[in-house]
Amino acid sequence: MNFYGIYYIIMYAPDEIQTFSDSKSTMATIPQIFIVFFRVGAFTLGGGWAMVSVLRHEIIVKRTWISEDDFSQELAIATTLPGAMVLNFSMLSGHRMRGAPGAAAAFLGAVLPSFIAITMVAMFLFPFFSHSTVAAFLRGAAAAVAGLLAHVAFTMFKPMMARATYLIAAIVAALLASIPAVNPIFALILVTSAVFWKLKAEKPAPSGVNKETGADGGKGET
Amino acid sequence: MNLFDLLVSFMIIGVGAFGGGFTTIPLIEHEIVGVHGWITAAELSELIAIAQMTPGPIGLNAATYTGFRVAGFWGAIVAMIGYTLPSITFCATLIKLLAGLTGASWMNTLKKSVQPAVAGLIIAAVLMYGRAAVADIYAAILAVSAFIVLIASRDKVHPIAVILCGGVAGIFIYG
Repeated sequence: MNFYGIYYIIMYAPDEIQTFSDSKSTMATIPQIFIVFFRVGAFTLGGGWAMVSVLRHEIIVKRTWISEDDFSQELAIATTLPGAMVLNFSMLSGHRMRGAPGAAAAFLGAVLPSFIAITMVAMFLFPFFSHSTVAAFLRGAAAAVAGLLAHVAFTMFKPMMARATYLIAAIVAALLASIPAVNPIFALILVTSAVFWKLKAEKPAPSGVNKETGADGGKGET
Repeated sequence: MNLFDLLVSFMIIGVGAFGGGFTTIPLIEHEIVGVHGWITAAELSELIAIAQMTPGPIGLNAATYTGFRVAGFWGAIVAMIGYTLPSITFCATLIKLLAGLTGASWMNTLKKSVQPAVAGLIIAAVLMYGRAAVADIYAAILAVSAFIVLIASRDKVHPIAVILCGGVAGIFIYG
């Protein structure tokens, strides 16, 4: 057993497929979408937000399948809709990448590992979790996931420091959503509306043509 | 109890579960333990533990495991379908609705407006998750190291590798 070989297959297999297509293409194929979402679903402990952190690395950083702006928008919609946030996110971003088949591939990729893992656990593996080594592994992994989430929060918060409006809005949203009695969706809608109203008020004329690219996360506007 | 009742129950849970994971579990408690009595409260705590320890979304894991406990393999499939069906329906509807609006200039403004709120929500999620996962000084050191590795490597290190390394370190610390 070549340990590095296994690591390589787990982490980088879809990149090999990609190199045979157009060199600079950022268009994902349906099997690539499925493989990436399946892998994230299969190896990410810690639930939905941890999966979003890993997906961000996979589809924005490592491959440029969707833009930061679209990622945030998809994430906001995914949180607002009912159901598991990361499954909504998978469908919406899959659709953004490759239409309805992309949405189906991303959704199935995200759902199947969970289903397989749960049925395996329910049928055979339940005593496995009470094993002390496994419990220790899971505790360590959970701590690392906290660091991972903090990293994504940091990278998404950093661009907000460019403008006072964004900075204040992000802090208010974080505080509101931290109050247990407040539904995060309420925080999301309230803060988004406030920022939207502010941006609308600032814009003197509707000349939004040069903002079509919009990949700078709002930093370019002064 | 038949599979159709199970499907309907999980569709109700799927519609009510805004925000996923931790809103799903109280709903399962109400619908499956309280209303139908298909599983016991003791089994519920077992299922919460398992949903968190297996990879994937916690709400989906909880739903699938409950379905399995109630009606075996087909129960798991029915619970999974019931739980995700509302989510699929809402997403598909929204995608259709948004399709006509992509060019509108206010949509571009909205895309920018949503970013601070999303950043804020993730910060809130980190704080909530961190309080549960970082229970002692070793966990704090692991979390900070994971954060530093990810920042310092400028996204070269894969996050899954960081999670697995954390697990291996956990074996040495807690094993």
